[in-house]
Amino acid sequence: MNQTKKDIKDFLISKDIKFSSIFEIDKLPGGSSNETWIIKYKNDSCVEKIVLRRHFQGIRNIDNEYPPLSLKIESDVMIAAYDEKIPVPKILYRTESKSNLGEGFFMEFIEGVALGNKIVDNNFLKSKKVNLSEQCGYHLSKIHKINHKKLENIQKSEAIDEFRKYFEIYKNYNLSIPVFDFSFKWLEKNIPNNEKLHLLHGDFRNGNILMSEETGIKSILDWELLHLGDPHEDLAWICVNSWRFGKMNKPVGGFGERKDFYNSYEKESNFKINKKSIQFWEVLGTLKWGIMCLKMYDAYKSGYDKSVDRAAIGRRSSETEIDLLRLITKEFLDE
Amino acid sequence: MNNPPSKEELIISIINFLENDIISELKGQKRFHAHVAKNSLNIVLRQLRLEKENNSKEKKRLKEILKIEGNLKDLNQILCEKINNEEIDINNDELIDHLYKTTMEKLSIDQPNYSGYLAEKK
Repeated sequence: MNQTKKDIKDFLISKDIKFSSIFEIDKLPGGSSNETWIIKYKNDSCVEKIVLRRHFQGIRNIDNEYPPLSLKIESDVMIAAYDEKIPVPKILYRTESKSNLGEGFFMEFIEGVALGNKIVDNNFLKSKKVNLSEQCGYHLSKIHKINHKKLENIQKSEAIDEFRKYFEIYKNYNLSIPVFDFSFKWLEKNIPNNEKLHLLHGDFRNGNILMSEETGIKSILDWELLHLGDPHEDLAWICVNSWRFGKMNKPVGGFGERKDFYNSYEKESNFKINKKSIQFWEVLGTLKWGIMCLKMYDAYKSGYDKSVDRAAIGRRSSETEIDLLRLITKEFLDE
Repeated sequence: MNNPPSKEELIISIINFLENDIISELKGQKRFHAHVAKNSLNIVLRQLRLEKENNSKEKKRLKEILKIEGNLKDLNQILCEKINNEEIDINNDELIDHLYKTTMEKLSIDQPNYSGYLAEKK
């Protein structure tokens, strides 16, 4: 057993003797700034699981220009969400930055499907009564209503900040992609007003929402991009075509209709969704994904990750170009 | 001039090898990577067939819009600068037409099954 696995087991046993029955600890592949571990143990002959999330090798990389969110803050927000009865994994124990494991937290393991291409399958839902778009609208409005004034150190990032951030990343690559410059120029001329800051999930999309075939949403995962900002950002991101997994005629995540999503959000929040703001954030979201594809390719180019998919993903940036042109030049929301 | 096979034939032979003999043997991340490898070879294959014609069409349009000579890389860089400093208006029909055509040409190589590409092609 390597040292990390030993540290995990020792930590858990110090919290609860039931963890003496741990028989398997595995790190999941992927994740450059944070690690995810699955721990299996026996409880009355049943196999139970819990999950550890910690910074890469337990250390938060603050040398990075855009350092990962502190897992202390991430877990603060997940606890606040859990208290508001939003479906998120329950945080069980937190680990301090000075401990052997470094900064992170243990959370409950929840069964379900998070693979986007499975969820967009027409036969995924067994019950016709469940409407995933309505559930998304309802839970997202509850996230946006979390009282963030009680929480500390949450960064604010509004339209102009997000615009500047991605423009800078793009310019640093020194590439000439006219559709990207065209889209940045359009964004610059269409920056929306936002009256009030809300707590945003920051990565609310198909792929980060754990679903069950019987009851729909089970848990909302991957909170590491949370920040304060304009609610339209979260409302638009899940509709970006890159997250529809080929099901373009189902605008919400490739599984649902905008009207169900927006109506349930507005009903729960008393917030009036603005079509121009949605368009701005959908353009920015699409562009953001195009730039993230280039960023992942850059990890290949720099030698950081020599895998075949890191090389190939650069070519997926052109997918976003056609979506950008259509979003900007055609009648928006006519789907 | 080289003896046969052609470069296209060599690539096709590897694509078939991956598809018929390798992918079914693999699991998990290796299987995914073998899939990606096959897709990358398909991109190269389409690029070998289409790149020359696509690039010459793109260059011809760029020269008409910018009214200058130059290689494709420089012309694209100048177009980006002119969009940025608003020498070319983003509502310019000739610009938008060029961006659509170039994007569709790129996708005919990169991802001809992409939903946005197929929707625009209709």
